[in-house]
Formats: sequence, C-alpha cells, structure tokens
Amino acid sequence: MCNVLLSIILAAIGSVAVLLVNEKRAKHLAMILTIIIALLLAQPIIEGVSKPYTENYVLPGLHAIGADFQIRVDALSALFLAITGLVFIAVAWAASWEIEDRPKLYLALMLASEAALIGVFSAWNLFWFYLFWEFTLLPMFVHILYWGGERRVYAAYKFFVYTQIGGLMLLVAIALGWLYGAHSFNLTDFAAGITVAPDWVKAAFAWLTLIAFFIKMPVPPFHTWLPAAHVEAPSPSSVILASLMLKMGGYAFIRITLGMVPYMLSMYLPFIGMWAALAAAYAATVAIAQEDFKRVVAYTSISHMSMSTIGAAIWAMGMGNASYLGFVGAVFEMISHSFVVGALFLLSGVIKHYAHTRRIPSIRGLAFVVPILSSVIMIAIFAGFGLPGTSGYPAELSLVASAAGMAKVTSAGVIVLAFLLLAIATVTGYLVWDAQRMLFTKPPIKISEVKFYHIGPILYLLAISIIIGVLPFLVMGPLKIAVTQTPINLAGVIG
Amino acid sequence: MEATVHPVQPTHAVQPAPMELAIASLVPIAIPLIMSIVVLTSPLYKKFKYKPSWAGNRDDWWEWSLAVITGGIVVLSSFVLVSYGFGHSYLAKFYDWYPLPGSDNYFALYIDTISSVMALVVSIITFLDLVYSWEYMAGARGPNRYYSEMLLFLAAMEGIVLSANIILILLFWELVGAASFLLISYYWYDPKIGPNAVRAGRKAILVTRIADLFFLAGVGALVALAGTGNFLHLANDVYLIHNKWLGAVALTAILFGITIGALGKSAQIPFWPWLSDAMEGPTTVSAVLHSATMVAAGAYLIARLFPLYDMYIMYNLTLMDFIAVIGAITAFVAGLFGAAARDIKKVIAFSTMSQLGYMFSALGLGSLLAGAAHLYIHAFFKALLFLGAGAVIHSLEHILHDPYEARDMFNMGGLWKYMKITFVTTLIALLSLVGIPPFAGWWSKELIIESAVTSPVPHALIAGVLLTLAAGLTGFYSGRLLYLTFFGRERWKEKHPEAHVHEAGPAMRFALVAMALIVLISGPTIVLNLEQVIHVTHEVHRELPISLGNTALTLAIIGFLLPIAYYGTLGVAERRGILHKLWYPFYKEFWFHEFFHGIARFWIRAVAGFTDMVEKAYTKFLVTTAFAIGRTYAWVWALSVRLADEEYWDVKVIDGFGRLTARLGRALWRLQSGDINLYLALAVAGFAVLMFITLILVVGVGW
Repeated sequence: MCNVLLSIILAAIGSVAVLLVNEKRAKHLAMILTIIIALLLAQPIIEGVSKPYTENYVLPGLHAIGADFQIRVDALSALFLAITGLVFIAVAWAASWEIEDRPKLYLALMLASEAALIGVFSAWNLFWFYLFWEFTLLPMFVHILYWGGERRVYAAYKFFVYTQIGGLMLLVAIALGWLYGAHSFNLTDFAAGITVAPDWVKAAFAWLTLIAFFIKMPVPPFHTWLPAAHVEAPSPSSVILASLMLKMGGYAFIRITLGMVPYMLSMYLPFIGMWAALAAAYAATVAIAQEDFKRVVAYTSISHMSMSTIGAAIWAMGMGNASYLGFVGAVFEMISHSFVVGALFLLSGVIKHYAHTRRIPSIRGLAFVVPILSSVIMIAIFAGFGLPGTSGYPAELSLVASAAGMAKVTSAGVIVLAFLLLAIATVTGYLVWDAQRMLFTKPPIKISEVKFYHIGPILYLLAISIIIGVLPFLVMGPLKIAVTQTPINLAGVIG
Repeated sequence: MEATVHPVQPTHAVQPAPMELAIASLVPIAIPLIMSIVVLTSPLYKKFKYKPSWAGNRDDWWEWSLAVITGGIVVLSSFVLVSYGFGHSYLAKFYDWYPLPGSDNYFALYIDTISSVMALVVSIITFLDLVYSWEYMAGARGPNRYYSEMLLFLAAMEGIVLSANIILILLFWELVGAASFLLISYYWYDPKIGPNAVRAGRKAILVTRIADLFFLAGVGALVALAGTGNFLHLANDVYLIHNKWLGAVALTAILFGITIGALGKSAQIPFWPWLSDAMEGPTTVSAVLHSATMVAAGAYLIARLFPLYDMYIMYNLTLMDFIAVIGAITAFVAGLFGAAARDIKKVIAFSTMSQLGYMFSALGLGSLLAGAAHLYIHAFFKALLFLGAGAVIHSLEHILHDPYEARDMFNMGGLWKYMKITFVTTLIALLSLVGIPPFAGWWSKELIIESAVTSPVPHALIAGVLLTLAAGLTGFYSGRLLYLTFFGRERWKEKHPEAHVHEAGPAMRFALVAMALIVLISGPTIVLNLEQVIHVTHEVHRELPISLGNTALTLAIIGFLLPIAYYGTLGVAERRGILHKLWYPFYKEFWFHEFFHGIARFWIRAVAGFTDMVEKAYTKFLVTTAFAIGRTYAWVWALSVRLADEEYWDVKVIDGFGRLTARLGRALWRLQSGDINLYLALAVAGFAVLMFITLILVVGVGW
C-alpha cells in the first residue's frame, strides 16, 4: 500500500478520531496527524519520481464501467501532494488557537478535506477524481457556514452554488467523454478514447472542463465567488481554500484540459494567454481599491492564479524552451502562491485577532507599538510581491521568460508580457502601500504584541517560501521530470 | 572618420577557483546575511548585563560591534579576492540554482578585475560607514533594525558584484532595492521626517521596481531564448546569439531592457526623483547606498556585462549611443539641479546622479577603463563627501533642533573654524569631485572626456560637449557648497547666539580621516593599475581644434571659483531677483515629483476606482441573475405542480405525486428558516453519509 493511500486513510480515520477525544487531545492529534501525513507525502519527492508510482484496486461493482480505484503519483502529483502535506501543518497549527467554537468538529472537517485533496492530486481515474473533487466542497462549505463572519450564509451558499456549477460542467464533460470514448475512467484510456470521439464531444469536453477549472482557480470573469468566500471564511480555512483548493483547478487544467484535448484549444491558446494576463492585471488593479486586508489578499490570489494560467497556456502552445518555462512558471507560481498567500491569509487572521478589525484605514501605527508583528507583516509583504530570495522570484522569472519567448514567436506574446509585467508591478505597489498604511500612519491604535505561538504558522510558511527562493532547484528538479511525464497530449504518448 | 576595429581581445582564460578562493568569495555574501539575522533578533536574546567601558550609557554597543566586526571580515576577504582576481578570472561554482534542460544556471561567483575591486570598494566604504554610525546614529530608535538592514545591504551588494549569472544579479539587485526601501524609511518614527521618509521609501521601491521589470523582461527573454543567464557563456557566444538564437531585434530588446533596469537603479533620466527623495534616510545610509555603491550598481552592471555590450558594437551602435547620450544629458541636467538645491544632502545627491551620468556615458562611449575607474574612484570621494556633510548636519542638529533646518545650506556658514577636520576632508572630497589635478576625480574624469574623442558611437561629440559643460557645473555646485557651508556669515548663530558647534566625535573623525587618505591615494592607484589590465577595444580617430579635457578642467576651475567670488563679494542671500526665478525650475526638478505623484494618484483614484466599480457591478449582476434564474425556476416548478394537481391527469397518480411534492416543498420551506444549526446538521449528515459510502467502497470492497 502506497504512502498516498495510507495518508488518505489516516486523514479519514483521523477526522473521526478527533471527534472522540477531548479538545486538547484533538488539537494535538490533528497536529501529529498532519505532520505524519506531510512526511508520508514528502516521500515521493525526496526519493525522486523519475518513474511514476501506480497502484490499482479493482472494485467488483465499478470495474465494469472502468472505475477502478487507481492512484498514480508522478512528479507533478508529487509536488502538489508535498505542498498539501506542508500547508496542512500550518492550517492545523493556526486552527488550534484561532478556532475557539467547537474546535473538534472544525479539525475533523479539516482532516476530511485533507483526505479529499490528497485524493484529487493522486487519482488516476476520473470517477474517483470527480468524487474527491466534489468531496472537497463539503468541509469548506461547513467551515464557512459555521465558523464564518457576518455574511457567512450568503458566502457559503455562493461558494457552494458557484463552484458546484463548475462541478456539474465537469460531470457532464466526463460523462460525454466516457460515453463517446473508451467507456473507461482511467485517465490514460480516457484520453485515448476521446481522440476517437466526435468533434463536438471533443469541443464540449475542452470548453466545459476549461470553464470548470477557470471557476475553480479562479480566472476572471469566473472569480466573484472567491472574495466573498475568503472574507467570510475563518483564516485557516482560507488557507485551505487559497493554498490548495485553487490549486486543484490549476492542476486539473494542466492535467485534464491541456493534457487531453490541447488540439481543440490550440487556436485559442494565445487568446487564453492574453486573457489570463489581462485578468491578472485586472485583479491586481481591483485589489488597489480594497480596504479589507483579506480582500486585498484574495484579489492577490486571483492575480497570481491568473499568472499561472498564462504559463499553462504557453506550455500547451508547444514552443520549445518557452513552453518548458511556461510549465515551470505555471506550477512554480502555484507552489509559491500556496505558501505566500497562505502566510498572508494567516496574517490577516492574526491582525483581526489582535486589532479586532481588518479594515486597513482602521489599523494604524503598528510599527510604533508592535515591532514583532510589524516585522512579520513586512516580510510577508515582501514575499507577497515576490521579492527575490522568496519563492515568487523564480516563478515570476519563469513566467516572464516564457512570455518573452512567446513574444519572439507571436505578437500576442508582447501583450501577454506587457500585462504580466503590469500585474507584477501593481501587486508590488498596493502591497507596499497597504503595509505602510498599517504600519506607519499615526496615531497608533491600541494593540498588544503578538504571541509567538500565534505567528508561528506564518513564519513556518514564510520560511518554506524563503527556502524555495534560495534553493529553487528543490522545485525545479521535480519539474524537470514532470514536464517529460506530463506530455501536452496525453493520448499521443502514453495511450 | 575611420573606424578601426581591433580584433576581440582574448579575455583571460577563466579558471576554476581554488577552494580557499571559493570560500573567500562566499564570505562577503554569507557572513553579513547571517549576521544581519543575528543582529535583527538581538532584543530577543540580549539579556546580559555586561557593558564595555567605552560604550558609556549606550545599549547599542552589541549591534554596532557585531556589524563592525562583520564589515571588517568582509574587507579582509575582499582583499583576498583582489589579490587573486586582479588581472585574472576565476569562477567559483556552488550549486545549480535554476536548472534548465541543456544549460546550467549555477549559483556561481566570478572573481576578476572588475568584480574584485568593486567588492573591495564596497566593503571598505561600508566598514568605515559602520564605524562612523556609532556616533551619528546615537539615540536612533531600533539600532538592531539599522545595523541588520545595513548588513543585509552589504550582503546583497556583494552578491551583485560577485555573481556570475544575470539571474542572480537580478536577485541581489532587488534585495538591495528592498534594503534601500527599508533604510530610506528608517526614520518613520520621527515626527518631522517620518511621513516624508515613508513616502520616499515607497517611491524608491516603486520607481526602481518599475525599471527592474524591464530588467526582468530582458533577463527572462535571455533565459527563454539563449537558455542561460551566465554572462561568461553569453560573452563568448555573442556571435552565435546574435545570428542564430536571438536575432538582432531580440538582442537589442534584451540589452535595452537590462539597460533600463540599470538606468532606474542609477537614478538616470527619467527615473531620478526617487534618489532626491531618498535623502530622507540617515546620512550614513546616503553615504553608502545612495551615492557610492547601490546607485552605482547600474553603472556596475553595464561594466560587468561590458563584453556583451562591447561586442554588440560590432552589430549595432544604437544602444551604446543611447547610453552615452542619456548619461551625458543626465550629467548636465543633474549639475543644474545641484546648482539650484538648498539642502546639502540633495546637492550631493544630484552630484551623484551627475557623476553616474559620467560613468554611463563613458561606458556608452565604449571605454570600460574610464567607466570602471570613475565608478571606483567616485565611490570613495562621494562617500567622504556624505560623511563630511553628515558631520556638519550632526553638529547643527543639536543647535537648530530640526532635521530640515540642519540640512539647509543657508543655515550654515563659517564652520571651518569649528570643524577643522571635517573642513579639510570635505575640501579633499570636493577637489576630487571637481577634478583638480592631482586629486582623485581628475584621473578618471580626464579619461572619460577624452574617450569621447575616440569613441565609435555617432553622437560621441555631443556627449563629449555635454560632459565638458557638466564639468563646469560640477565646479559650480561644489564651490557653492564649500562656500555656503564653511565660509561666510555664521547664519546658524542668528537664531541661537549662545550656541556652539563642535567637531565630530572620535569614531566619526576616524572614518573621515581614513576615507580622506584613501581618496588621496585612490586616483593614481586605481587608474594606473587598471590601465594594465583593461584595454579599449573599439576606437576611431577624430581631430578636434581644442582639447576637451583641458577645456573641462578650465571650466571646472572657473565654475569652482565663481560662487566663491560671488558670495564672497555680494554676501549670502536666499533669494536675489531674477536669478532666483531662473533657477526655480531646476530647484523643482522640472516638477517631475509632481508628475510622478500625479500618475500614482490617477492610478489609484481613477483606474483602480473604475476597475473596482466594474467589479462591484459585475458581482451584483451575477448575483441578481442567479436569484432571477432561481426564482423563475421555482415559479415554473410550483406552477406546473399546481396545474397538474388541480386540472389534469389521473387524480390518483398526480394527486399523490403532487401531495408528495407539496409536502416535500413544505418540508424544504421549513428548512429555509435561516437556522444555521439546521443547515449545519444537514450538511454534516450529508457529508458523513458520503464519507461512509466512500470508506465502505475503498476499505470493504477494495481489498
């Protein structure tokens, strides 16, 4: 039994077990479980994933429709699994002090969502992939609904309905592909099957999955659920949502839409790239006008995910070195975003906890009264706009490089490059401005200095970001393997 | 005019660095970086009672000692680098930082003449400046912050200097930008400087980062098209790059992007406003970051990549022409600004901008020797000038009790009697700046202006003439600074007749004297040695009726004496008739600050405001639509049920179904009570059921 399955089961059992012990033990148990799972999930990446690890469980009832329980861990999956493990440690840590109301239930749902996320990133069977995909919604829905802010009901239903529309699109796409294809949900067979399906099925599959994943990532104009959900969600849940659940969209976009039917989109890929670049600049510009710090981070998140989409689109265009860099940029940006935006969301939780507000104009003069919190804010802001030395720099460098390589081939690349740079500049501008407004405006508000335990998870995530920024080969190495294991046209190579 | 292109000279063969050199080259980056964290966190562990006797009643002796010791270690290791690297080339590889298929982007340090000398210059200036900080920064809030940011800067700057890969140069480049941002806004707590310092920091990081985005795009294109940022490879393969991989357009675009990054960092036209605002930081910071080292990084970058630019001359002269002319214009215009400024620090800042223009111009004219020599020599005398100004400001602050008053030259005067050491050292720095032989600046400025005559770029003579005129302006603002500060009426006494000005304390005196000695020897030492190892590769021969170098020297001397004679005979007055009006546009820097603020305000208010409005309207539209669809759906459903129920079909079937639906509807109706607990219970129940099914399927059936 492989590590991945073991961690799914551990998380699932853990989610029941934390309900059975007392609160203090439940917190410890959740922490220990997330650490164990992180170690288990780090194993593939440490060993090196030059050969994908696969495991099949034939299920009697489902075998007939090609829905065996199949796991395949290649380099791309391994990277996402590793960040899942690492991020959940911070989530459990932050939840252990931030969630005061029924923490046991919260942790149970948190572990359940971890189980589902691991499933999404490792399943090699669309039946199970979809099951896990939908499964992730439920814990998050309850998190927002029960532990959310004032407009939690609105936010939770909006989140659920909006992303569920995407889920239904995905369901229809999968059903069509199954029906007209190989009658199997195995990703390899499915990809091969869809090549012989009628053209309208291919087109429907491509566009339905594209929109489904754009909703999940989200790429504007499918993004309006995200700021509402983030603002109302408790900050550890925001971390799950931003750092991992958005990555499901990016991962699936690379693996399913671009991995299976890139030829249906090849004509539109430059436009998708341009659109994503425009969207990145748009989201960054909207963020300037926001007053709620968490909303600012939410729009930063949209901007970063749109940047990542640019890379994916350039990758699928098949332009040699530029495409390689596009793939690297897309995945690196997502990984960097996981840690950096995770830290920023936790920071917003800490600010809310100590200052009792997240409105930037109401938070004044932190540098005068709380030097430690101020330093943490400054470092987090630096990481947020991708100061070199943090993980944002190699990611943005790869994206800019791929856009520049695209500009050499087609003039659409110039537009992509221009808007990408505009987005990067804008993110720097508003993050610095917001930080200065919180830190240096007078008169200072009354606030007590933070406890180390409370900023611990933030420092932990920032430390990972800095380690990746100083040693980017930790990510680039697996990516080098991943790009060969993730052919643009899955069917063409494996099938 | 006849171009003679020398055959490309074989650069010294690059040797792998021996172990001791590799370690010595890592020290200037690694040690300050580690120590900066140690110093920053000092309040967390500094609980010991011990205090050395020289520290008096001050608590920041620990941070200061750590910083000075670190600076000393970096100076020593830089001497090792120079002893190996001068006239040779070594490459120390550490690890593959950014692995790409088929090419390496190692974290590698390149030790040759250009980099080792620059490393030494940076470390010596930073070291002396840290020593000087003991008195200058006394009483500043958060000494751990100050010293740790200075050490962060030192590490990043040495990283720029030594890196062998443009990707890593850009990394350290942005890090010095961050250190500069932090140090400019260092006085955020000060009631008077605070708000300005915060704004200045923001402006610095934004303006330089916008320029850096062009740099980033250039580096990105290089990585995408050539596959590597290692400039040793690039310089060797420029022919290949030009003809095979990139083509002329891409190579021009890449080099332009990198050049714009350099222009932004070096505060050249049109990016200078951040530099004149950066003077809100402590003077010690200005002395190191905003005069000698960090802003010179732009010129250094071009000197570092000079093989690339130089060979590019063979294909295209536009870029070099652009650099030469923009440098010359900056040198001239900044001279005008410097002549108009009242703030002593701003005068020196514009002088820096002007001298950086000289360096850019020299490099654009194709003379690496002149550009590099001026880069090194200028660093010393400009740092000395700032240290001298710092001593003056430090003394006057005790009297005038206002940082802005203390920096205004019209509040100074007659200080030479009270501060003899400061006066003599500042005079040495000013004579170097003006370029009076045999002081340091003369050695390199002469080379620059003469290189205009032999340069192959088309507009070389325009650049040459502008630089010659700028030499006159340099003389003018230097003479003005000297007279207003050290001679004439003692204007600081007017409001405070009882006040006394004192010479700086021992640490500051030590730094001033040591730096002055270095300045005195720097000119001949640097130029004569560099001449042995750097040669001009592209030259043309022109005949000019007059010697530009001698003209520049004459203009400089006239310019230097002019304000002394003027103020000496007419006396010092703040505003005098038409002259004041004439200089006003230069005093306002052509309203470029207002222009930049206008752009920022427009962006925040108009663009972001409008985008936010669009976003809100769009969100509202989606929500409204969703509710409309939902309501229509419910209405249609209810209607069809009622129709079926009341009018059609077999009563038994439909009635039964209808009643069931109605009951379900009523139940659902009740569910929509807004009761969170109910919602929650339902959600959890559903979730539990799904999870149970999954577990059964996986565990029970799976195996």
